[in-house]
Parts: sequence; structure tokens; C-alpha cells
Amino acid sequence: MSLCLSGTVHAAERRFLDIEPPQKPGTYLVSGTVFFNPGELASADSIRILKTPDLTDAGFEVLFSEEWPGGSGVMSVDITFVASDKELRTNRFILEWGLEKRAKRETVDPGIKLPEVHFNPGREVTVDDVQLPVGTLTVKVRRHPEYYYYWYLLPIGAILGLLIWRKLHAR
Amino acid sequence: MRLTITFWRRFTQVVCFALLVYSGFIFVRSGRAAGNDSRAETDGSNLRVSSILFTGRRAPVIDAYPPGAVCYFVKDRGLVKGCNIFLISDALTRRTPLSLVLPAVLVFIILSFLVGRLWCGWVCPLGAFGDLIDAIRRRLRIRHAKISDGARQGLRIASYTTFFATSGLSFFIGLRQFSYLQKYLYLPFCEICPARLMCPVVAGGSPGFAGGFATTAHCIFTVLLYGLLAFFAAGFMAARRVWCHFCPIGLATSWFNRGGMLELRKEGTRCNRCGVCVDVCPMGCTHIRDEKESELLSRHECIYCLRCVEFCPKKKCLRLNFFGLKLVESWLRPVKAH
Repeated sequence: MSLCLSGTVHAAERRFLDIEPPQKPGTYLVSGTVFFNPGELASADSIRILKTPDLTDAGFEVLFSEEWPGGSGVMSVDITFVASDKELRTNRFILEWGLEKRAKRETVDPGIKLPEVHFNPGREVTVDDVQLPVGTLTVKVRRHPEYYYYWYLLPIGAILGLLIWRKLHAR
Repeated sequence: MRLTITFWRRFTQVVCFALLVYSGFIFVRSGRAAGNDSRAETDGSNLRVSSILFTGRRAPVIDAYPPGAVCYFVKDRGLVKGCNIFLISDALTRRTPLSLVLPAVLVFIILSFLVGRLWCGWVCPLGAFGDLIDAIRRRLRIRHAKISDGARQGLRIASYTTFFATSGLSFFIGLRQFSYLQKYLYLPFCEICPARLMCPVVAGGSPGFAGGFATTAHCIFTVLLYGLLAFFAAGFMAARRVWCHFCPIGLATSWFNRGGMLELRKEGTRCNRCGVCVDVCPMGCTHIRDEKESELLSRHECIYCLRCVEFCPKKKCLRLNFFGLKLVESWLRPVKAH
């Protein structure tokens, strides 16, 4: 028996960055930490910061990243980028990840002291928010696909049965 | 040079050690196997690993888990992905579907059923390391301590206890509310496993973590881990194959010693109870000499090193069978001092 599912597939995962716009005019160093679930992000190279409304690549620097143990990808990244107060008031910044392409990287000069603003990963970006490249995919899946793998239990059981029989009859 | 059993065992150990520990260096670094996994190329280029627990990051050459202490944390990775303890701990923590674990379990059962603990005696890199230290001890003419039957039984019980405790811990930290502990307690048995210390070091890495001596905390942990490695080396020096009495993989493989396809047999009428077999046995098995009723000597301690067969002075007294066919039997040979 098969089950038919339909859904919308996004090209990548995207989240708004919640940034409190600064009161004073000037250039700001925006920084924050983003956490990922195991297997969600293979490499920090697959992260981008986009700027609304035209989703231009804002450029950023990864200060620090940490991996999940056992090769399950990236656990967290500390990100920083430079933005003006006007940009922070008028534009929204989106964190995008999951695409297999190298992000635009910029190095923030540590010698320049800029006032800091921190961000938090906000709600997920939906189709209504921006023009996302989307496609529809119909997937047919078995209700219990794992049953196919249980055939391994047959040889395992047979060998263990043979082992026990031989143990009992060993002299 | 006589092509004795010991010669072939040493030869196999060296070849297996090179393959299991240095394959990542030989194949992945040279680029021949890099195409198997893109992480082999990109990993480490931009990511800084801060965890104090993990060093291995590169892809294995073969995605398999054979019996034997084949460490997952070898720098550049070895021929296979890791050992079975790693597989079980990882699967319990990450709730890996049974369907993905079963193939590895089947491979383990087949290999164990075929040759039992021969993996320990001929293939395991940690066993080879122990044998190397034992050879150094013999060269230095240091006497080794004999592990009594009671101590062996105690180590076996401790091994069961540790295995189930660490497996339980692996399951526990897989619970959502305790997942924050994974950063510190993921793969708990690996934290005390000497293979985890030895294999990365001989492959040119650090025994504990990638940081080395970067910070004070890293320095402390590095020194502690090297100290632990020295402790294990001293243990191997003091008593032959001492870890093999405790090793959970050896414990699991030992269930297949009796009833498996490989059988060590004795013809009781030819045995004169001289005890040479007990003297040369690295596991200190006494039943080879003492067994009177049963012809089958494949007990759980036996690692099929076949030193007893090689050094037994009675012709055709001891023999090794595979699928009921005789592979090798004892013959007359002068016995060296040990």
C-alpha cells in the first residue's frame, strides 16, 4: 500500500533575523549565533545573509563555528556583518542555508571599533514574504518503508539459531 | 626465516594495522577515495572544531563496522568507519532507525560467526599495539603479571557492566530534554577506550581533541589524555593483553567462539599436561592444559593467536578447524623462553 504526499519544496531554508533597529545613526556591527539541528547544515559555506526587498547577498563573516559530533554537520555558527542604521531600519535581513554554493564572505576589520547590534533568528520566511523560487513535488512513499530492511533479521536469526544449536551440540 | 604461525600473525597484524589506521592518509589524502565523500575535500577548510571531545572529521574509505577496536577518531580516518561500540552508542543517541543499523549488525554477526575472536588476535589494531608492547617487555626482560581466573572473571563482569552503563547513558542523552549533554557525553565508552587514545596518536593526531595546547584547558586535557595513554601502555606492559579481557567488542565476539565455524580442538590422549600452551598464551587460558572431558577448546577468552598450537611439543595434539576442516595442527618445535 502506498501513500501519496504533495508539498512545496523550497530551494533553501530561510529565516528572518530579528534585529532591533538602532536609535543613533551610524554603521553597526551586527552579530549573533545561529544553532542548527543535526544534519541540517553540512557546512558553514552553505550560509548566506540576504537583504530584502531584492534579496541581495549582504556578505558576512563566520567568526566561529562548531560541529555536531559524528559528522552530523554544523551545530552553531557565530555570524557578523556590517550594516548602517538606515539599512537596519528599512531592510530586513534573512539567513539562508542549505544551498550547495559558497557564500559571499567579507572580513570585518578587527581594528575598527563599531557599535554592536545583536540579532536573533526569527520566524521562518514564507512565500508571502518574498519572491522565492519554489517548485511543487509529488512524492509517493510507502507507509512503512523500513519493513523492507527487516529482511536482515532473517539471516541474523538464522545465524544466531545455528550458533545456539552448535553451542548446545559442541563437544 | 621460518614461516611460522607467529610470523604470519605478525605480518597480518602489520598489514591490518596499516590498512585500518593509515588508509585515510593513504587513500583520502592522496585523493583517490576523496570522491566518495565531498566532506573529505571541504571538511576543515572553514570550520574550526572547538569541541574537546572529537578529533576525527574525515570520511571513511568503507562505511563498515567490523569486529575489532577500529577507531572512528583516527586522523584522516582509517579503512572503515569505526567499531561496533561506536555504532551502538551513536545509534542509541541519535535514534538511528533499526533499518540502518541492521546491515552493520548482520556483517558483524557473519564475521564473528566465521572466525570468532580471531579478529582480536590477528586484526585488531589495539591488540597489535598490545603485542608490540609485550614484545618490548620481553626484550627488556621484564616479567609480566599473570591475570588470575578470578580477575579475568571480574574484568568480564566489569566489561558487561560498563557496556550496558555506557549504552544506557548513550540512550539517555538521546532524550530531547537531555540532549544538551551530548556535547559532553556523546560516545561515553570512547572516552575511556585506549584505542581512542592510541589510534589517533599513531596516525599523527591528538589523543583527545583537535585543540592540542591552544589554551590552558586544552593543555590540561591533552596532558591528562597522554597520561591515560601512558597508563594503558603500562597496563599492556604489566599484563599481556590486559585490555582484551575487558574489551566490549571482544566480549561480543567471544559469544561466537563456542559454536562458531572456527574451532580449537585438543586430542586429550596426546596431551602430557606440560603447560607450555598456558605459558605462551597471551590471554592466560589455563583450560587448554586442564580440559579433560571436552575436545573443544574454543572458550570466550581465546583470541585464536594459535601460539598454543605452534608451541605445543606434542604432534597433532592441538588443531584448528574451520567448517570442520583442519587448518593447522601442532608439531614438534623447540620452545623459547617467555
